[in-house]
Amino acid sequence: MTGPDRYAVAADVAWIDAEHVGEARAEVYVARLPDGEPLLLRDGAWAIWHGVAQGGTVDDIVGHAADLSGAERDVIADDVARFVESLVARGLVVPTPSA
Amino acid sequence: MHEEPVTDPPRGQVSSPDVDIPTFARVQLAHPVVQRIAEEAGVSLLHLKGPALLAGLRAPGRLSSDVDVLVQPDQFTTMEGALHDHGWERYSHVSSGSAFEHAANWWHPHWGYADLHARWPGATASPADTFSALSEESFLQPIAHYACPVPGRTAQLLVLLLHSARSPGYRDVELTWNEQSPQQRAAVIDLAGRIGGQVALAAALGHLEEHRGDPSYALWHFYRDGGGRLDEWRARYRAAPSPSGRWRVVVSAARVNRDHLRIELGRTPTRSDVLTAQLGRIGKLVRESARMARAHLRKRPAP
Repeated sequence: MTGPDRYAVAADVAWIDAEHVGEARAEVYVARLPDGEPLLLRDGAWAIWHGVAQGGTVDDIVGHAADLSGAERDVIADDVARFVESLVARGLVVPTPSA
Repeated sequence: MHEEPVTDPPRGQVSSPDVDIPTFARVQLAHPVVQRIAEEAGVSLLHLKGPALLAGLRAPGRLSSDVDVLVQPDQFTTMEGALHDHGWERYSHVSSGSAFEHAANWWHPHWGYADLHARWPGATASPADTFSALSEESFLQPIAHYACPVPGRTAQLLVLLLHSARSPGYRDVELTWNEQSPQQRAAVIDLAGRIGGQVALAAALGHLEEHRGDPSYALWHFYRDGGGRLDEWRARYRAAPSPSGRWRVVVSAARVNRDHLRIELGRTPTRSDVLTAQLGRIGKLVRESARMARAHLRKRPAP
């Protein structure tokens, strides 16, 4: 029996948070290497990205994003799941099937 | 090119900010971009300065504006071809970039400028020996969460010191030398000796006068104290290591640098542009020669 898929940032992706240079903005810049365009993820998208960067199931990511954004888990769960799938479609995030 | 938001919930929270991406983010992401291109092309390189530095060696408040990498010399052409294949444009060639003929300047619409170094100015050992020595203690450092090879601590310090020797106004020896332990300084001196960088290191540390007899003395003196274009060309001529090198300096002094002209004009120069610039360059050299001759005569004692 296998558990729910886990997600992680793809190995060919670079990303940097505005906090890295002391900017107090909820922003992260992401690029798929070597030819992807830079993407700016802010606010809710920023919180979800950090959830993915921690690694885990969609449930884990929802929990992390809720903690960062202060939103209710139940309210954002479906939206987070859809956004994670869109990141997978872009090749920025990969599912890592759990054993 | 801007994209639509990816999905409903983060509407307006996802964008493709290729126009206004802040410098810190652009440079941080550009290092992994260049690294990935190198990996796919099988090229070895070292990331230098800026985000590639160990945390304690970054001058507070100083942000890089471009990427610097030192390429394994045998693979330089391969790396240039790979950058070209990934949409990068060459802005200047190695031979036209600087007095040291050390780097080609590349540009990408998303990632800005990258200096591709064939050698590091100040090192007089062969580029292959220099790359090898600077690579000895290299390690992988995450830049924007992507592993990039960087020189070890001693090589990082030496690279910064040699850079400061040719950067008027940026003599950051406090961090890179004065605050270092005696053992660390000895290691830097030893590495400088192995890559033939003693004179440049002396210039960085304020001991250049100990090397007055060295062919490169005038060049480092020029970088330390400044001077006219003619002073620079004379210093370059003296520092050239071979007759063919000296001949290249003479030809370069007289010839318009098409790479620089293209940057200046913001377009590919026409034959007329080149001719006009060429005449201006020769006129400038003649005027400067005359100025130097007058200054020389004024210095001569009256009969």
